[in-house]
Amino acid sequence: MGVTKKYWTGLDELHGTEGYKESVQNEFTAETQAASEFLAEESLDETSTPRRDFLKFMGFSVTAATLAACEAPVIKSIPYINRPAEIVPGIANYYASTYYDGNDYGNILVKTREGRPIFIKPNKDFGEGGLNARINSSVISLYDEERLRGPQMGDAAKTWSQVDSAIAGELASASNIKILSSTIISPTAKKAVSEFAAKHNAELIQYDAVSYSGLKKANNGIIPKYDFSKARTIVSIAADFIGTWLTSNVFQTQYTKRRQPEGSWMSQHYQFETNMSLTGSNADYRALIKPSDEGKIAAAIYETLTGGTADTFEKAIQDNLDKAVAKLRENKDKGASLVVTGSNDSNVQKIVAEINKVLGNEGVTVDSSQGINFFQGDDTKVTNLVKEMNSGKVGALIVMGVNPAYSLANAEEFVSGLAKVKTSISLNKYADETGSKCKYMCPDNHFLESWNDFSPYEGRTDISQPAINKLWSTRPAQESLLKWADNDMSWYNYLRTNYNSSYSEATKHFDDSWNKAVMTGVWAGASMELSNNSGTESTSEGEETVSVNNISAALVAAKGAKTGDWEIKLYEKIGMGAGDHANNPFLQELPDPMTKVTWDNYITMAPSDMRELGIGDHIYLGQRTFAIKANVTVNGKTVNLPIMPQPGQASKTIGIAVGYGRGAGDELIGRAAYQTGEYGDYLNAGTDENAVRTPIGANVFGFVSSVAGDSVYSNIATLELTEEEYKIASTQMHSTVMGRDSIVKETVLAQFEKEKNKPKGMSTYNVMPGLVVHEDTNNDGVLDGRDKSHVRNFDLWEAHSVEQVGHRWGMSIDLGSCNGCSACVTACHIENNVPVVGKDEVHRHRDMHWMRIDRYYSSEIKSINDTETIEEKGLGVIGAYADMENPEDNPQTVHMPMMCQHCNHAPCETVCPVAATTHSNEGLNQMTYNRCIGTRYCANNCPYKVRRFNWFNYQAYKKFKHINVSQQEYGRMVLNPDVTVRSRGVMEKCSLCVQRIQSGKLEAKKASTPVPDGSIQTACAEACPANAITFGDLNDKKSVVTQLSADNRAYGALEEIGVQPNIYYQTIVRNTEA
Amino acid sequence: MKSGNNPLPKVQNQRSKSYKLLSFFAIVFLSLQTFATIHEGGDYDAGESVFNNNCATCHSLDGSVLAAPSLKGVSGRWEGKDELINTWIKNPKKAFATGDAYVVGMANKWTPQFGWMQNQAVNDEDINNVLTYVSEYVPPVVVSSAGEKDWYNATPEEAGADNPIFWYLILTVIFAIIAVAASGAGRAIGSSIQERETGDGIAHTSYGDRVKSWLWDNKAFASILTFVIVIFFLIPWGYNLGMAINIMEGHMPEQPIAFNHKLHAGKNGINCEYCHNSASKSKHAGLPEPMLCMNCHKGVKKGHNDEMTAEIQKIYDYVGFDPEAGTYIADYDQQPITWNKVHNLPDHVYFNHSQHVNVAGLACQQCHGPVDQDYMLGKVATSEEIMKLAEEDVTIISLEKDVLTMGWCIECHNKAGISVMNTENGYYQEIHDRLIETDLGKRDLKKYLEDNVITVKELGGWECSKCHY
Repeated sequence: MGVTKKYWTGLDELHGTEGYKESVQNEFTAETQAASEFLAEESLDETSTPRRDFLKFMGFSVTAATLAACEAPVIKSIPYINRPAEIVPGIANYYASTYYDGNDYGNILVKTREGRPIFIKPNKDFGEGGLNARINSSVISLYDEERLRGPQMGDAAKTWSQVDSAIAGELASASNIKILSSTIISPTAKKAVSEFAAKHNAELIQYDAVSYSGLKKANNGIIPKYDFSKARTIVSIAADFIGTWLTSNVFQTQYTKRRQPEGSWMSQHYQFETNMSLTGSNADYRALIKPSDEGKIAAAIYETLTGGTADTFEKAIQDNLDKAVAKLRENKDKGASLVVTGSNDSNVQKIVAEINKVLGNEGVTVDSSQGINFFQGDDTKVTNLVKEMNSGKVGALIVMGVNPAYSLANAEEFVSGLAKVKTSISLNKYADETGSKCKYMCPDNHFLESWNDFSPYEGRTDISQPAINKLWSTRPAQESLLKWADNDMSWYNYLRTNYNSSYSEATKHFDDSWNKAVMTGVWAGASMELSNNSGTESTSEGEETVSVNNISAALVAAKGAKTGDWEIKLYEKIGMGAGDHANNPFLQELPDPMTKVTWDNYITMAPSDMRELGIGDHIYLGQRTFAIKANVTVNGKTVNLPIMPQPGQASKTIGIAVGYGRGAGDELIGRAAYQTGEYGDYLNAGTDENAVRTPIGANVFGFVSSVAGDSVYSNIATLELTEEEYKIASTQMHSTVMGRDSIVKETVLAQFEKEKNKPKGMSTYNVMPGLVVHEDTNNDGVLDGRDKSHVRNFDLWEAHSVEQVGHRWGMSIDLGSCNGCSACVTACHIENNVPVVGKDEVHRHRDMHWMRIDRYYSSEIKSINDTETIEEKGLGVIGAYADMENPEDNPQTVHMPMMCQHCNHAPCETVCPVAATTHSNEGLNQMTYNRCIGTRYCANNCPYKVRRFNWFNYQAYKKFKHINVSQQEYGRMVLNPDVTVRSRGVMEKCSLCVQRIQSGKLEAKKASTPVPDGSIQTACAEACPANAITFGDLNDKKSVVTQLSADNRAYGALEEIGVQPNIYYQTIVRNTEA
Repeated sequence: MKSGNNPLPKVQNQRSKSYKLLSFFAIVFLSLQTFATIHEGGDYDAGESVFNNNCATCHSLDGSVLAAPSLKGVSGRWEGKDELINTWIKNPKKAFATGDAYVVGMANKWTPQFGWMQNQAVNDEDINNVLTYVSEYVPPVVVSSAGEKDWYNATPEEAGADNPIFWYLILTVIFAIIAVAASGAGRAIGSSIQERETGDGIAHTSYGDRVKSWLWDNKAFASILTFVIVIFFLIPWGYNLGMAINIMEGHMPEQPIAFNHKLHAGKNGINCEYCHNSASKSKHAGLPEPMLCMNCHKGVKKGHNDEMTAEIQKIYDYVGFDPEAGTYIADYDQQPITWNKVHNLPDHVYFNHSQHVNVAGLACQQCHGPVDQDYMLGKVATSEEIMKLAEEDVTIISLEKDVLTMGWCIECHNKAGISVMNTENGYYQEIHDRLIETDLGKRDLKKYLEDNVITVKELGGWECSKCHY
């Protein structure tokens, strides 16, 4: 080898002295540190610091920073040893897979870069339905550092062979072994469980955190398959089928197919509910009922339809009920309506099932012959199990994918029973509420590390494949069970063998159909039977699944539901679901679609009730107006939560979300699952030796009542106000559009039908904003105020050619289709590395959301011209404006996705002193972070308020250490390498996923073709399960977005101010009378 | 784990002078020995060129085995078989078919390991020249290791003390001392003169006070002077100083393997994309993985000298290859090669190789300079190198700005043209078709074509979000 030159900066380095080695570790020299300590001295905080000192320090810091910045860091480049053929560094690979966690199910495509999964999007070619926010943000949980990294016995880490031999010994001598699992829909997993059960004479008990056992009982042990796309009239009694009920992501796609007025028909949706649910906010007619009325409404519908005498209700409800029944009658025997209820009371479900039969929906919109395989949990069996455990009769308990110590109504009894079980094994991924109390913890792989197969219903089998090698020493739960059943086969081989009996590891026979199944995510061969033969027959006191057969008994029972002074309705939130996602900071920070509150759960209450209780001052929550906390007592259990005003909440009822209060015993369930304070430390933690982290919100699973053995999510409550105030972090404080009709435009179906053929801007519901001109534009021969020209024709600047020059990227958002489900919000944030900022920062209005969904309620005074109502209320002009901010008691709701509108005449661009935000010739309002100096003029000048100022170094500042994924060693692997991680002091906003536009154009150039319409999709458009967002090139005359932009319903938000946005909205058309 | 039974040759770092001297004499002595040669009178230089182009990859001249037996002493071994060796070189299997005992023996010895030699497209004269070259070949005498450095170290020379600023500073200090001394002397003289005349010396004032009073007396001059100094010296100086931060032209950090681009890309003519094979597909050009190196180096085990052989051995150490047995070592703990990244684009800059290599069709040399002619390890060229290259090659755009600065990028985007008018690329064709559809578009196109070229800039190549997002 030739002479190797060595450079050194001093003799210390040359000789490698200890002092030098130490100094290498410190980026800044001791002097710099001393100075920073000095600067941090408290005396300097006083205002008496002389100006000269300030200048001195400033000079010093500038010099120090310059010197420190001059040193270029050495970065290593490490190629593979042998590059896998499918990986090209810099190019993403997509793998078809399936998401199932016991609650949500979705066909997904996993985007990986250099082997790391970084994004989840719907498998639109082969999957059914879209994805919700919970599924598309689940990629974060793969990198959660609090996941168990290997098997444990108590707190002690063990090897797999150690736990295996210990468990094998204990299982051999145990009697009455139980497996408590979430609903298993994997045919092969079921087989593995049966093998284990046969070997050890064990019984499988399936348990769902949120139970549907009442629904199952009412339909002869089957959960029917519903089809919302065929129903002309939809009546939902408290079923949140768009947000969380059953397979809501599939229902949402079906539902929105029939919510477009351009189709041959548009469905009409009636909702009877207590809380303001996402589904209710999209309904055409919505009535407020108490939870105890759910059965009565169902009974009334049934009795009216069958000619019986029905109960009557107060007028508001009765009107809606009459209309709904009339519509149902219209569609009777056509299989064109659908009635569902979210109640888990088997009697109510029975009535609804009968209604659907009476209406002739069976076989069209309801298929209860086959049903779906989800939610097969049996509440009665679980109750019996807890009893058995407490009586010491259970020898061994294996917990698999469920967390009963958190989610059972009688969790305390479960915990005390668990202590009496000699051998308790948890296969959960975390040392969660249940796992940490088990003797053994044998962690399962994350779903992105696992093979699996799923049968959502008979006739369909989906395949799940790993997108990454397992990060830690975990093992598939199925493989653990097989191992303990003396089957040493690996889980993958077992799965392959199940599909191809000729498969063996030695021959490695790969057949085409398997590869195709892995490629598409769907098994095309003979579908796998999901055997219900799981182990030995129930050994408990012969309580077979009871099905309700007697409709008259059901009617009596439903009408006799208990009522109370205050009734409570429990619900699941869009973000948290049943609580599995407590560790996901993206979901914690996802604003609730209705209340827009982040990082919390709370009591929802009608504003009128709050006034009555004397806390009317706390209806308008803001930065300085805090919520009042109250104690809610149900079943002898009390929780203390803040009260959130919720227009549309039924009077004398309250709603609280389940899924919060995870980790009350300071379990290791993920760092983001706990409340953090102003400087990023956990609340309470560190105050004394025994301090534990404070969970977010409170657990209300204990409030679940039991009706005929089934968990029912409503109850009678007592409410007691406290003096305590509480900060709530909400991203939207105002409630209504305040009469600014040009933001949201809406009309009713009949009106739309009349005017749908008029050109854009000429219909009464979509008036073109124009300015009066001295030209006879309307050709009436007179120059007057009616001669108007479209505001787009006016320019302050020289015309900038946009039409037909290159590309002009644009978007159309159908407000009629948008349900507000917020899947786009999480998808956008993960795609664009948008930082999570935590509750305290959201409370200061420093949330970083590039995409938000504005939710507007209607108010009684629609506009200032509504003189009739104003007079009726006796209000002046000022009073009218103030009153316009008040939503109605039962308002209509609009969900409006709002992000940078990429104005062609952008007000932000003209005020930037450093030209950091400029207009591209492709119509994008581009943001150049490296040029931005953070004056924030642009944000002030933005009419849509979509620009976000990056206040902190979120990647390093301690305030975000527990919640921001980029501060975690593994968590930062989820960052998108094609998007800059912005630094402190710059403005940021939606870029219309410019990284995707650039790569899409590059692909077209490489393929030597024009960019095909639809080949470039923004993250939000791709994620939308309702297909409400369309992205494309407005200069491509054939593109869908061009057609939509010229549509009768198309308008630009606040178009009259002349900013010429490239984002179009489609007017909402409601299927109501007026 | 490296297996113990594999004595991998150690990298030789030093050789004693006496050893070098000894080997020098040995080589001279050996080469002077006369072999009875089968071919004589060929052209030595022509033979060298044919040998280097056709033979050198597999055959050595020093007795070592690369991918075939060494040609050292070949004339002696084939003595009296002039025809046969010509046949063998042109068509080995034909020569084998003659059944000549030497040929058969040699083929049986070498073909199992290396396979048959390719039929060489050479004529008898070439063969004669090569054999002359082989017989008369004298290995270059390595006088000192400094001479070898050229192959390995293209590190730019450091700026020495010949920096003019250094001399200006020294002059300034000397002048300052003289000025102060002169002023002190002048003052002393003035004071004594005054003292003699009036009996009182000049009132004692400090230099500072005197400067102040002088400045006060010459306000206009002082302000103009300050203004001139600030505008014409301080500001440009500070600006240049600032702009020079982090410009690292010609930066070449030490690398784990002294890979030689001049040899591989230049002399051996290996296509750049053979190793950097994602350059036309991805944003990254891609670093070759050691197993890609092994495609060739499974056969090519020896370099032109010991140092190069030692570098090749490093690849074997990474992947666990036993060059003598010609097999991979079982259960070897293979290690990736940890290269030091030469250039780091900041996070907020997006650069895509495939856009430039595949779509624009730029030569690698446009940015990487004379990789194949001049240097060892990869890097972006210096601006001098690019400008020099542009003089020789019309396809290279001459760029004056410091490389890897934004000015450099946009300079090129301002000069480089796009062929929109032809139908080669359907994408650009579509853009062109749209442009001529409207009057405004036609106006724009006319403006673009004023200089007869549509530049990248005119199609938006200067826009921020092309590279910053």
